Amino acid sequence: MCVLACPEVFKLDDETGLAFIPDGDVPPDLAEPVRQAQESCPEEAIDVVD
Amino acid sequence: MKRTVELDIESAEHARNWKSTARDLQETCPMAWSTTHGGFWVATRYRDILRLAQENDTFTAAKTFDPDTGIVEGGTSLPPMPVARLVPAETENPEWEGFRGLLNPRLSPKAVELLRSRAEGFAAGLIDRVIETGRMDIVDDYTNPLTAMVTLAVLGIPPEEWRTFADPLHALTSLRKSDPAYPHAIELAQIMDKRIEEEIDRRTANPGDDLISYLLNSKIDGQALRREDIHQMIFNVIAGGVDTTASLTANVILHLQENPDHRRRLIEDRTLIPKAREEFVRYFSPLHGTVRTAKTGASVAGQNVSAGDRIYLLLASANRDPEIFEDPDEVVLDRCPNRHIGFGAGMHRCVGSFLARMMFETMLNEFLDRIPEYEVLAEGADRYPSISPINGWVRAPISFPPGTRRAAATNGVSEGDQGHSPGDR
Repeated sequence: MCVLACPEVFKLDDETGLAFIPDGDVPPDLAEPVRQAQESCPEEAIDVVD
Repeated sequence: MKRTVELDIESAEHARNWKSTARDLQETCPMAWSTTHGGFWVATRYRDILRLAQENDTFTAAKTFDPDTGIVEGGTSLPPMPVARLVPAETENPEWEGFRGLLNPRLSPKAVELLRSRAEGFAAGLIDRVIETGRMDIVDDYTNPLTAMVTLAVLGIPPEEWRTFADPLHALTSLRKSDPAYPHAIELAQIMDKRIEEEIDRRTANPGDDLISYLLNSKIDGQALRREDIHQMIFNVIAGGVDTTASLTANVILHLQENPDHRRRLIEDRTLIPKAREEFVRYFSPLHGTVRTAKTGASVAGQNVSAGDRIYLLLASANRDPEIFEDPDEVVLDRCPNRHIGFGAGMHRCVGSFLARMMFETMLNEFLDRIPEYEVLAEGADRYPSISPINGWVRAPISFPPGTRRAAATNGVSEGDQGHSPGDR
């Protein structure tokens, strides 16, 4: 669900079905969608570090 | 203080009033004790339900069934079903990891994508069967056959046999276990079990590249799988693949009839569908709830849960918890963030969620392309008598301006009408 909130940062692994982040550094203009992605994760698996 | 309620999650009353019941319990007693079905806790808050699904050392889905005594312990159904455990849904570690590890790659986004064009062919063929008549039953003519056909394709079973598999599941999930028709549903399930056994034999002799052959050739820690576990994995895939997504899609097609503005937005902008799909999973929560059993004592929402206590995780209620979702009773097509747990959470989170999403998109796109205008017929749609475990529809007849067929030959769909209709019940 993070992939839906911010497809620029979060990608879905075709083999495992798990979301991953190819590049951990988020451009400033994507900060808000990344926050939304964090809030989209029911498993609370996403940490955002400022 | 322990609050006792008479909440029967299988009852017609619950099907009618679950939203107000859940909201009341969330506000006044988020872990309530129901006296029905031998006594069980009802969890209604998102945070508690997430914890119950994630803390697997304390709360388990594992089930044991002794066919000689008929005694059932644990498991994910309430009341308990006196049948063998679902694999992997009703297993725990160390076993679970091996079973789930085998299924994951077979239902990955990549594996599912390979099935999409076949699913599209099935969807087009099913609409072709009814498009010239101007009438169809959303459940019986479309969502039930499509989900069953695609699931059978995963297993390598001929899709035209879909009724053998879809009918018993439809009956088993929709009827109360006390319903006079329930024994008939059990008989149908036995026919399905026999077909699964035949398919295992067939694949043992002649392996293919299907899921059944794959399971037969797999090893966990160097050991081949036991036949009964393979059987129950096949059954679990069918049970998870068919009625859940069929119910979601039927709910959505009915919703879009009542909300033409939503229909118009989706027809005009198909890029909305992924977010809308998640919102529909949240709003309709086709899996109404699931069950865990406490392995040890624990405190949940201020209540003392004892070892052995059964707990109903009302997923539909979690998905409408106002603490998590703004305007929880509204369908917001582009809701974001949307952290619904309609596919469950934790280790037993739906293994088929990518398959479900692909089938839903395929069905909705084909339906909106071919039948953009429709009315629910006067005799009306009938909801399942019991909305637990699956909140779906027995029938949902519609009428529409007749259209034309896409193709003369249709992917095995035309022979699909075997046996009687599940609508006969």
